[in-house]
Amino acid sequence: MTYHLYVCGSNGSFQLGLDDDEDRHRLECAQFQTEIGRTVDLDIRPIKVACGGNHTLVLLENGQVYGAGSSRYGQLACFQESLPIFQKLDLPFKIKDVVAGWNYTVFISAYDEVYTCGQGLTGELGLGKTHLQSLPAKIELPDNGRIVKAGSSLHNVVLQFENGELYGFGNNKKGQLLDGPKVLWTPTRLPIRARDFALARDFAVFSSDGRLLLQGKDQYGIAERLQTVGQIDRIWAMWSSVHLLSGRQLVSYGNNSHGQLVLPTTIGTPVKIAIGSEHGLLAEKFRVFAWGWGEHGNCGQHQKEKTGVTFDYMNEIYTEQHVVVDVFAGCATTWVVVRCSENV
Amino acid sequence: MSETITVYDQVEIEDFVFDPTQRIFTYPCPCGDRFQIGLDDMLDGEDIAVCPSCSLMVKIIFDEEDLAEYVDS
Repeated sequence: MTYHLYVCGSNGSFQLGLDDDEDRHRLECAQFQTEIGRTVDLDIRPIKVACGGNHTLVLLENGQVYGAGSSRYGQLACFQESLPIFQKLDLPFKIKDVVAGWNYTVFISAYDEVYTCGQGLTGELGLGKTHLQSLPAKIELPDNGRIVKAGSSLHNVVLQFENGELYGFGNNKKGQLLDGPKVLWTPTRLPIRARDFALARDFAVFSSDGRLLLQGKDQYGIAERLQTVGQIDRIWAMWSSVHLLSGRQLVSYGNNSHGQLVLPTTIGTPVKIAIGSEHGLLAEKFRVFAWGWGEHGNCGQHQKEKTGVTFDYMNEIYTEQHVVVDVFAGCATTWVVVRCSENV
Repeated sequence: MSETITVYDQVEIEDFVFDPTQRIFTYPCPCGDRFQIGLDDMLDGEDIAVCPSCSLMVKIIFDEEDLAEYVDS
């Protein structure tokens, strides 16, 4: 089985892994440096793409991680200033999950140990008052069993353990993680327990006991709207809006300056949804749609008579014959994992 | 027709990073670059930070007296 990772969008720091720093308005295959040389063909399935402000990490099913883009602050766990195509990161442990924020990366090992690297001016590294960590360093966490979910925003991280406890670190200036200090320099247990959560730039949303709770800055009046939601199946956040799947309805609340909010959409077939900084992706088996702010090509090219940087409709960006396996979205970047069948 | 200019979001001054050498405030833009505004522009009453790589802009929330500590730094 071979997989391709299609990319488009913002690329000023080589974060798309295309060996140049030009933005892309059409999907193109990211390039990987593997044992056999430079290729776009991946034999092992990419199961996660984690995006920082200017760096990208691709986690493969076998626990290896590839990185591209800026590593100016060590956020790609290497000493090069930047990686123009995806290179395998030299990590001494197998990885089961990875999340990224503005200039930092959080690796979760197969043994549920957590390592961070990069720049964290407000506790993003979880290592105490360390601002810079060029190689992954282990953070101190209680022995709470497996980590079942990791989430990140620009400047903070939340880890969810199998016992339901949440630990957070990083920026808490708006009280988005807990009612307490403005910076959580080390992992701190959050008073709330939640089934699911989503981190926006200045607020966080927690799904707890069948209700949605917003903590932090609420300039768009989202908290009140969330109280009207019945069933909650999944929640995501752009930097300034919340998106949720309620039964078969995809609904959005928050900042709509650039078409970020979807009109309530009924999802017919199984879909994958990815939410980036200010754009979103919805994928069916053979099609991918993008909406929101698309100035850097991350929502593709307009297919209607529309112009400009706002995509206030579902714009179809992928229609090829390969099966879409997954989609991911970063800071104005779009990622589509496809499985190539042999005879196309 | 050109796109209508809209302020994408509002950000408090405490969230910006201040560079005392260049006397500018910066804050992450959703495109990966950083919104910028000069301290001197703010002293002149400007409150819109722009991104050098895209059309997005943010309005900075601050009081004039907030600037004193940066002027002296």
